[in-house]
Amino acid sequence: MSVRGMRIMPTRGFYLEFKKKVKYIEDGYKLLEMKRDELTRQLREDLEQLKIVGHEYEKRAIEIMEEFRKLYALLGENTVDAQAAIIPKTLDIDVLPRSIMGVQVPFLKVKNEPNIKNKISPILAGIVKEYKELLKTLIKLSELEMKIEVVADNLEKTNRMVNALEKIVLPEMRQTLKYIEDLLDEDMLEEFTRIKLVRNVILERRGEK
Amino acid sequence: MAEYSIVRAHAMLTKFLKPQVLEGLAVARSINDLLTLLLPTEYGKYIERGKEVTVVTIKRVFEKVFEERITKVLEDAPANVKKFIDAYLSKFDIENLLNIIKFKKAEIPPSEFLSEISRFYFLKLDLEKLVNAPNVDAIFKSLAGTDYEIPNDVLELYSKYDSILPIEFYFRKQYYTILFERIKKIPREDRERIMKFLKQDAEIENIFTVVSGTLYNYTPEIITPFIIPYYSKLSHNIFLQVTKTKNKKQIINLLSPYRKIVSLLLDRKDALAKVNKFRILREYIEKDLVNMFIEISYLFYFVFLAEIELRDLYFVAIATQYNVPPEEKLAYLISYTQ
Repeated sequence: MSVRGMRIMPTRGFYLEFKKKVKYIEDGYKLLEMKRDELTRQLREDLEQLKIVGHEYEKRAIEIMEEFRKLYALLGENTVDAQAAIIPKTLDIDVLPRSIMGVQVPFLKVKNEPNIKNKISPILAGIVKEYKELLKTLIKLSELEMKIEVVADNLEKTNRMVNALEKIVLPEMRQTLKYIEDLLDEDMLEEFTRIKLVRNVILERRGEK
Repeated sequence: MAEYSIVRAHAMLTKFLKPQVLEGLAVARSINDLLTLLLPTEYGKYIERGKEVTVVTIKRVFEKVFEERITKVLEDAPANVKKFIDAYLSKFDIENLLNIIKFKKAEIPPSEFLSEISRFYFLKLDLEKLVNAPNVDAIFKSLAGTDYEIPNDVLELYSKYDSILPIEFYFRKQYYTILFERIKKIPREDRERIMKFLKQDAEIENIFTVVSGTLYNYTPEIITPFIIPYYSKLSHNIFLQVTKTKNKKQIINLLSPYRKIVSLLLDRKDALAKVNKFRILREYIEKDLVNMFIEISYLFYFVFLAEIELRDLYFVAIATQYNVPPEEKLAYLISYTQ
């Protein structure tokens, strides 16, 4: 008998070593199970947040776009384009790693944002500020989407591992352990019987029996 | 020969678009529909059928009619009135100038913005020279000796905040200063009537500046020196008080004669606030129109109404291009108040 290519030796030494391995894999299984639960919880939370942020973003984007269209039509293309041209293009974002149960998820940090203070004409200042706030929501939304993708991918892998351990590897190993145990028990019984027989022979020779 | 011009203005005013026509234009679904609706109007003669129509080409049609109206009405107007109306129309010069400065500052090549610049015959600035200037500083230098020469203290603010805003505010203040200077040459009765109108106009412009300054944290240094010093219902002191408060209720109370505009600005409905500014001015004119039936001020009001129609048509054309729903288009038309 063999477990995944491993040669089984029905010796006590091998048995103890194998038992240690089974215990180690069982601990790993429990940890992976905990990781799976935590990732599931995290994914559920993120999906909930994505729904809220996405909805908020969509609603705000529509409102701002509608107001912008009117301002664009009212002030003329030239005025709005000229104003847009002088907005400093200094948005700088850092993508940093953050760990959730060992899974590296991206975290977006705005390092530098366009400074619009004292730069935008009164009538357009409001819409520019609204757009800037919308951009922050968009950054949050993309961060959430990336996070969900990574967590979901990892959850799938973890789930596959947990299932493989639970349904295939651990049952096989336990069965092998039982098999070795049975063999060793059999050996012990054989040995015991043999000793008992030898003892009877010796006693007979001594004439004690 | 002011009387001749006034009579002509009366005749021409009958050709202005009626609210029903504007309503029809607002429900147009495309620029082509818009052109079809404009065919039987004064604009029809400039519409070329069978050619590709864009917002730029249709804007040129509106501008031609506007130019024609101004030319005809001012042809025989007295020199002082002509000079004053020239000063009033210099707002288009300032708009062009500011846009060119902004594009230059952003280092946008002229080919990308040239087609969008208004080119009325009455504009005084040499647009080619401005557009082809190598940079913003060259534009500032080329303005030396003109009405738009920028003083050093304004240029210092421009450098200090790396912002066009002080220059924009300065031009606006300068615009009203020149306007109020030129109006002195107009006969007293007309002068007072027009001044009342212009003071309201300047006051509302000040409201836009101080309220936005409070809402969007402009530094007082770039607001207070540029408050236009002509007041109708408010005072300089009130505007200064607004710049110092963040309390919305207090702002509304301080600027109570213009409660509607202020509330719209505070609710961040800037577009509607801008429309309301013109509506207030238009209402003022309509109330006064009968009293000045044969006065010189009628000529000025004619120019203002022509400007309103031009702005409404610009709005309809661009809004149609960007699919703004018809009912919303109507709500943003200055001349349509039903």
